This record gives sequence, structure tokens and C-alpha cells, in this order.
Amino acid sequence: MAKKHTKLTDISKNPDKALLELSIDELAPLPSGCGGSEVLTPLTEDQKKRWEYNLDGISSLNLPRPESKEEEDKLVRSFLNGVEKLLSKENNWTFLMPLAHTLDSCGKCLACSDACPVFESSGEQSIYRPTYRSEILRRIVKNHTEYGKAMFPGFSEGNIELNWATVARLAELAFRCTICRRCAQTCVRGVDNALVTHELRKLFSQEMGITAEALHEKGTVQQLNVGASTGVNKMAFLDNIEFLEEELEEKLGRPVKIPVDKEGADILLLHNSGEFLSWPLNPLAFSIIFELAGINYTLSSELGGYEGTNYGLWYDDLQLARIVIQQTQTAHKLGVKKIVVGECGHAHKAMVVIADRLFTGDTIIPRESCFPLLEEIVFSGKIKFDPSKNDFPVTLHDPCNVVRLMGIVEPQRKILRYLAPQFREMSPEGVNNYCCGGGSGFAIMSPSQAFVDWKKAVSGRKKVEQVLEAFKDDIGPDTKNLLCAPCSNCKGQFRDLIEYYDLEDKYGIYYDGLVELIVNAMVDIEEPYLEWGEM
Amino acid sequence: MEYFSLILTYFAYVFIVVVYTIKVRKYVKMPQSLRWELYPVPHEEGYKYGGSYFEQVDWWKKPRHKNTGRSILNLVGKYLFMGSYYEKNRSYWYGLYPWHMGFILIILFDVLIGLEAIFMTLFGLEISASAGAFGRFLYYVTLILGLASFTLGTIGSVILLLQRIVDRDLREYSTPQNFINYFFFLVMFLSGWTAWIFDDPTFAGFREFWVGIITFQPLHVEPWEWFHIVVFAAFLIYLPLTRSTHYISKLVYFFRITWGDTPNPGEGKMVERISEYLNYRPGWSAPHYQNGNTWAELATRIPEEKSDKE
Repeated sequence: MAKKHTKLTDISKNPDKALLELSIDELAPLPSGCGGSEVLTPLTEDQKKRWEYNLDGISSLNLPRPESKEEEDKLVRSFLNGVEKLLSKENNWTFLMPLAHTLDSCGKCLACSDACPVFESSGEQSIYRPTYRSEILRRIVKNHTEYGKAMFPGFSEGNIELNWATVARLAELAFRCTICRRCAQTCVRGVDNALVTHELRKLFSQEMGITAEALHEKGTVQQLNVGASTGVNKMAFLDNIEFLEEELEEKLGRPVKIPVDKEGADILLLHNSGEFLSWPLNPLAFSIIFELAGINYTLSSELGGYEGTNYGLWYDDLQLARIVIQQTQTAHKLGVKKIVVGECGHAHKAMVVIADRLFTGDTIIPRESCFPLLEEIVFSGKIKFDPSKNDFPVTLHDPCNVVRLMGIVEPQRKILRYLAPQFREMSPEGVNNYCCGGGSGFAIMSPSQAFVDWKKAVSGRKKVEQVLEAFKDDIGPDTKNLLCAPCSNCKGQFRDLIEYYDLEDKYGIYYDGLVELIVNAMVDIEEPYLEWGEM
Repeated sequence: MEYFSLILTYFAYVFIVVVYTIKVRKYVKMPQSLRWELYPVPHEEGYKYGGSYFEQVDWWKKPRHKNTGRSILNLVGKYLFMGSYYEKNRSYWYGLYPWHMGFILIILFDVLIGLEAIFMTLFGLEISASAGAFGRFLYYVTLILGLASFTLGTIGSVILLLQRIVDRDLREYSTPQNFINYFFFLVMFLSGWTAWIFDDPTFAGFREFWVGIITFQPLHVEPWEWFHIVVFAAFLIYLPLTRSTHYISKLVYFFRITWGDTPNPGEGKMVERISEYLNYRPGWSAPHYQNGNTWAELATRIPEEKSDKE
């Protein structure tokens, strides 16, 4: 395993050369003979001509190269304006306090490095250290801004040159961290390097209009205007519901209407719209469970009503707020008592936690996770289960947004302990879990093949190791092991990881959500619900 | 010389209190941020495994069982044992822990000496190895505190200084101030040793100096002792200019951010504060912000941006 030492001050040097050129043989090894033949596709020569790639030879933003020195200088000034705004309460009341604490309090002990799956999986490359981007930003603040300027910055903080190379590399660095916040857990001072990633992304988006296309144009903008980040509009959504109703009739043996736009229901169930397109068995399973449990719920076909995602959580406070407001307005119009978020981790976090302090007076509406409700239903006796139908190895992935960042740990475990006789934990699990590697938007970002490969080879690598370890006594081409991933974005990442590492054919590892496992164990559903290998 | 050390000590204590107050006030006055908690949260019932009140259906209808005492104990544990460092970065902990304890103990030592001087001045209490039970108790506690702080501080400073020099990664993240800090603090702890060895084996001289502080009458102190008093006062003045503010700001941070899971009740002070923030007028320059509008106006108005798929 190699380790390339990159100095902090290197960030502003050699603008035409990548600080790191990563190769597969430098990455952390995987168990059970996995890995070693993965591909890290380099950018094409044409892409290199058009985009900045001087961080690690990869492009996540497809950032155009400035055409003149004047343009570079203008961008650097714009960046610096953005830094100043991050540090003012009028512009950043949302996160000023935690950011200020993080900038002022780091002891530079590097204890957080070992907590970072990207740093570890990369073979401990310096530029992926959680503190690397934070320290660069800290030095910029202390050397170049009015707000935080130190009296003798070179002495107390260390120098940093601020030029276009620094800015371009920082922009890319903001997309080499999944904001899983494992690093923040380790810090006794409460320093949060993942927050720095979050704030840098905000700066680039809110001040410079720079962000990943999948998050902004094709993400929040599309969601606010069309209804879903998948591009699904109202008509397409209703078509999906029609299809699900046909499936539902087939599964239950009787016609069942999925409630849509039902006024006065107890619950507005908010799915990630990606489920309807990629994993329709998931919303279908919710419909089966809620139908059999007699839950008074509805889906919505209105803007903000059938898309639980909120990519604003990862890069832009205003877009985050706009989406939450649209979603809650829809719930108010329907007159539901509460919003329940389906199996989507970041929708949980955005809707239930982050948005909480955006509401005033009447705009507030109770919001909760689906997992406690599912637990209540499973143990209520309203539905009969036969756990032997799930008698195969099962492990649980803990979506960071649901578990580490919301503390919802046990409900999903109680269900699996009951309904999956061969359930086993990964290690570490619960709030100490590792990110799937697709967090903070990576799972839906495909800006270049180079980045697509990177998120599988590097940011998802640690998770692959965990999964292989969890199933180590059962893996093989003829076995069936189920990785339960109750989060749409995590499932998207696992779909890609399973293909990239050939986990299905070589090791018999498949993935699915939690509700699919619940339905698979139902006595009333005679045919197996899980579609191994067809997910 | 005596006047100098006396005035410097007065100044040092006023300075440290004023600067820390200003710095901490800066944090306290900052807007309440959006929620950004991180589990496990010690005051939650499910703390042992990292659970939260979100694990309940209709959580807003349920009574909250908040164990603030456990949060305080957790924070005290962070201050006193630095367990996270022990688990995650053992080699660094070997230097950091004694260094950190050296600080805590030397400040306790100084505070205790001050209290003893008050007892001596007001009640004529004798503090020595041959005094009454209470005086004898204070004498030995002070002796142990002083020597422990000098020892731990010296060991910690040396280890951290060497680690920062030898370890390539730590060196990369170190600034000139880091090295000056370790060296300066080493001198401070060593000066305690020299004062004890050469001038004041019972710390009686320090007590006399503090009697002088209380009575505004400078008393004679021996040279090594004087040196330690001056270096320690310089340490107090220097401390707030370092990153040591985290000792206090993290109190605010942990309770308000990392463990700040208090839900919005939809009324009262929290809503008043949010309403105030929503009236701020952000000046971000990206096209999806329209300058001049308040946060509330911007968040409720969706610009007519067209995406590729429309």
C-alpha cells in the first residue's frame, strides 16, 4: 500500500498537474480475494482539455478551465467573497456557529483520519485526510478574510497562497467526502470536518453557482419545477401508481386502491421517487404492509408530494428550504396529521431533523421515520409472519443519515432479529457504521466515468470490506446472502458496488430494502417476494 | 521586581477572564444554527447504543426523558480522560494526556494556593506539615498537585514536541506557534520544578506571594520562584490567544450542536429566533438567489429555472 505525502501548501502549486494520481494497487486490500482487478478509468484527453482535474485526475464537477488570468482572478475574488459570506450571520445563520467552532478549535492531532473510509480505502492519501480541506479553508480564513484574520497568520495558522489552483482543487475536494461525519464522532473538541465539506459546497453553489449538475439542475431545480429529481412528473407518477395497483392485486389476490391525494388521511407517506423507477417492489411493499395493517395513509401526486429527496441537504441551504416548504405545504393542503418518510436516508435527515428549525408557527407539521411505524406494525399482530421464509444470511447496512445523524438504530434491528433467522451485524455497526460510499449525492452523480469509478473503488471500498466480512462464512457463487439497505441512495450505491466487484456472481451477495424482507416473510403472500438477482 | 510580578499577575488574571469572556460571548451570541446533532447523544434514553427519541412512533406526543447529568458527566469525561484519543490515536494520547492534565493541575494548584492565602489572611490558618489537620491536609494536597502538574506537564510537552518534530504528518499540520507553544509550556512546567527544588520546597513562598496579591502588598520572593510566577502569568496571558478557547467553546458547542436535539415546539423563543433569522437578507451571488429578499421570501419563492429534462 502506497501513501503519497502531499503538503498543504501544494494545493496552490503546479496548477496543470494533479496532486495525486491514484492507482488500484495503492488502495487498501479487500478480504476473500475480492478486488485487485477494478478499473479506474482516467479522464479522456478531451475532458482534460475542458475540465479542471488537478486534484486527483478526476472530475466530479466538470469545472470548466478559465480562459484567461482575468477570469481566474475574478473567480478567486468570488470565492473569497463566498468565504466572507460563510462567516456572516445574515448569509449563513444556518451553520455559522458550528463552522466557527470548527475553524477555531482544531488541535491538528489527526485522530480523525483513521475514522474516514475514504482516507483509509485510498491507501491513506494525504489529500483525502478529513483535515486536509478543513486546514486549507482555515488558513484561507485566517490569512485572507476580514472576519477571522489572525494577527500573525503565518505564525499561528500557517500560510496558504490563494489562487485559482487552490480554489479549483478545493471545489473538487468538496466532492471527495460523503459527509458521513464519522470523523466528527472521534473529535473530543467537537471539530466537524464533514461540516467543512458541507459549507464549501454551499459556498461554491450559493456564491459561484458551481455544483454537481446531478444535485442542482437535474436535482433540486428539477424537483421544484417538475416534481421529482428523477424527472417524473405528475402523469408519470400516476402511471406508476396504476402499475403498482396491478401488482398489488396480483400479490394480494384482490383489487386494492393505493390512496393518492386522499384528504384528511393520518399519514402522508413520502417516498424517494427513485424507488418507483428502480425498485418498485419497495413502494409496493409499503402499500401491502399499510393495507394489511389498516393504516390510514395517502400518497400525493402534487408538487412536493411524491418526492422525498432533498439534495439541498448536501450543497445549498436555500434549495433545501424551498423543497422542505414545498413538501410540507402539500401535507398541509391534504390535511394529514403527519408526514412519514419512506426508506430514504437523506430524506429522513432533511425533512425530520435539518428542516426543524426552518418552521415557524403554523408551518410546522409532525414528521417521522417509517422505521418505528414498521416496527409497531410488525409486532402488532395485525399481520402474520413466517420468519422461516427469510431463512438465509442477512446483514444490515445503517444509512448514516438515519442512524448516526438521527439515532434511529433499534426499530429496524428488532424487525430483522424477528423476521430474519440468520441476521448478523456488520462490524462496526449502528452509529459507528461506515458509509456506503454513495452518501452526500455520490450515488446519483455520474459526471465522468473517472468519478463513477472512484466512488466505487475508493469511497465504497470500506463498505464492501464490511459486507464481505459479515458474510464470510457463507459466501460463494451458489449462495444467497442479503444485504438489507433501507435507503434509496445506499441501494443505488450497492447496485453499482455489486456490479463493480462482481459480488453477486462470485460471492452470492444481493441487496434489498427492509420492507421487501418484511413482505417476503408474510404468511398471506404465498409467492416469494424477493426477486434475487433481478433487483 | 516584586512589584512587576504582582502587577503582572493582576493583569494576567484580568486579561484571561476578559478575553475568554469576549471569545465565549461571540459563540453564545451567534444565531442558533439548524440542527446538526450527532449520535450517540448522552442525554437520550437510548444513549448506550446511540438511540434517540425518533425511535418512537408519534415521538412529539411522548414525554422526553432527558438525562442532562449524563451529558455533563460525558463532557467531564472528555475533559479528564480524553478517551476518544486513547481509542483512536493512542500514541498521541501518551503525550497529550499528561500535557492536558499538567494544565488542569497547575491551574488547580494556583487556585488552591490563592485560596490558602485567603485562609491565611482572613483566619490566620497555618499551612504546613506540622500544622493542624486541615492545614496539614491543604499542605500535602498542594504539594501533590504542584509536583504532579510539573511532572505531567513536562513529560507531555516533551513528548508532543518530539512527536510534532518526528512524525511527518503531524509536522505538516503544525505551525510555528505549535512548536513555540510546546517549548514555552515546557519552560513553564520546568520553572515550577526549579522553583520547588532551589527556592521553595514547601510552596510557602507561593502562599506568601498570594498573601501579597490579596493584601496589595508585594512580598519578597526568591529568584527561581519569581521566574516561575512571571512565566505562569505570561502563560495566563498567552492562553486565550491560542486555540485553548475550545476548553470553553466546546461546552457551548456540544450542548447546542452535537447534542442539540431539542425539537422545535412551534412557539416560544425558538420560533421568535427563527423568525428573526428568516428576516435576514442574504447577499449570495448565485443566480438562484435574488438579492434584496429575505430568507423567508427566497425560500417560499421558486425561481423559474429550467432544467434540462423539462
